[in-house]
Amino acid sequence: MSALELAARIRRREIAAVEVTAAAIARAEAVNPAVNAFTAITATRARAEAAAVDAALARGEDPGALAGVPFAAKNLFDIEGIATLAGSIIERRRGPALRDAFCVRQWRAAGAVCLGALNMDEYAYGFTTENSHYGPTRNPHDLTRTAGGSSGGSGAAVAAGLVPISLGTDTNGSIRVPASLNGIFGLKPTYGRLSRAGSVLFVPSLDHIGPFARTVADLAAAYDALLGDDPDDPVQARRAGEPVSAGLAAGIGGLRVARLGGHFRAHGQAPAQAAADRVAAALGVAEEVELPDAPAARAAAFLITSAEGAQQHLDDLRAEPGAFEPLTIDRLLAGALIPAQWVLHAQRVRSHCRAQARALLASWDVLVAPATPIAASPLGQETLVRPDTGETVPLRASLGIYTQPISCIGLPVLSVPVQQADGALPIGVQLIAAPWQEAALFRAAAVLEAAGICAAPVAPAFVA
Amino acid sequence: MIDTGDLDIPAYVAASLPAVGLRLDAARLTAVTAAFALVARVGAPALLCDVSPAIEPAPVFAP
Repeated sequence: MSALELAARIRRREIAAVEVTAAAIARAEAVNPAVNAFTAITATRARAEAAAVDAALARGEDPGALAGVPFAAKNLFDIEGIATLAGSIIERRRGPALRDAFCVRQWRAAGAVCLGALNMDEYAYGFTTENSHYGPTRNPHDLTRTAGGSSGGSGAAVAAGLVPISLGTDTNGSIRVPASLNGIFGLKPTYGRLSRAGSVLFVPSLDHIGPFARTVADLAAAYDALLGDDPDDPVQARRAGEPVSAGLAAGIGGLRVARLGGHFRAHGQAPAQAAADRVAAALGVAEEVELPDAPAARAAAFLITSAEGAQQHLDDLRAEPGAFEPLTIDRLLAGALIPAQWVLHAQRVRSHCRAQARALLASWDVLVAPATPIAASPLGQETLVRPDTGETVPLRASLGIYTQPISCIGLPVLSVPVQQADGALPIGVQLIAAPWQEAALFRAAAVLEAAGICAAPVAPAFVA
Repeated sequence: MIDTGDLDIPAYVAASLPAVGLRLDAARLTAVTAAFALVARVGAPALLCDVSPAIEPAPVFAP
């Protein structure tokens, strides 16, 4: 059942929120050992929140669009009463959060029920959620494979049907990569659209937050509920919220859609390219266009990430490097040594590429590109062979090859899932728009879902 | 444009560690040197991109 169907039944009092929550807790406790999506299940809190929803309904009040819908949040978001881990053991020592993050409060205000916290790469620095402290999150479509990252727990929890919606963050692709590998919908809004207050930042220049869901309408409702002005986030744009749910049925009439080529044709294996081509064809695409300096944008994101990511943790890197994730400690230490001139140059490249994107998007409303170069890879895999050049490249760094150029310049992206794109495995496709044009992405995604091109059912092995 | 082709990465890493207060053992130094070489290699398309110094290097601080 979708989040909105569930909320509708709860609002009509056909089913109690406490019953839904009890079932969700039981299922999460039973299934989580297989996927390791949750690092904490907040059962007591969830029961209390669900009881409050039922009580509001009994009083004749409207609890909100997400009434009684269970959700969970990547464990870098503050959840009152539990430690905000950010995938690390260092953060665990800082004690429980005293207040929910802004986005958690927004979903709570819409009636949703917080079921717990979700696994991630340490400090969001990774694309596979192979976390040495809390164990790897496993892909519900194949438990021997990665769930992507860094919001891997957020992707797997939705794909396994443990929650219908979840919260994640995206700096270089950390919503779009797990959305792709878990076969679900994921939104990275425009940079500055949603408040990040109450989350552990990874790269302040590039960090976004966003939702995951199994239907476009759920994703839209989840996103609309996150909109809201928050003076606690200095990066959030002072701009009206522009909700999208009301426009879902508008179709794509009048939208100009093109396929991104060049950089977005290179690197990837055939299934990823075929998935993007299939989506493009369904949207009536007749033209392929290029973002000429996409490789430079991707490289700029890599440099900014390395430097800012290290700066965030420099004190701890000096004091106890052994407490960090073995997969990332060397990258963090190397990032601390990057010359300031490299970073400032990368920021200029970012602005330069933003100008290129603005020029391109003056002619197009939606651009289509693969989300990841491959489907989910086996846990522990270290390298990837580029099919176009035969070059062996580091797998983890390569998973963001198509997502990094876009988040580097802050464009909104909705990742739509194509099931059975590589054997039994799904792959995601990015729908990209001009800044603040999330509504166009939702219109296109709704058309793809209605046409049966994109869907996100619970992974077959986890259908209840 | 910044061309790092002549950069002696092992020497740079060893020399810059004290500037940020880091001390590494020999094994870690080798690993971090390799990680820095990866940063330089993956970052090269940005460093070699010829952009005007007149372009604002965002982010802009808002008082």
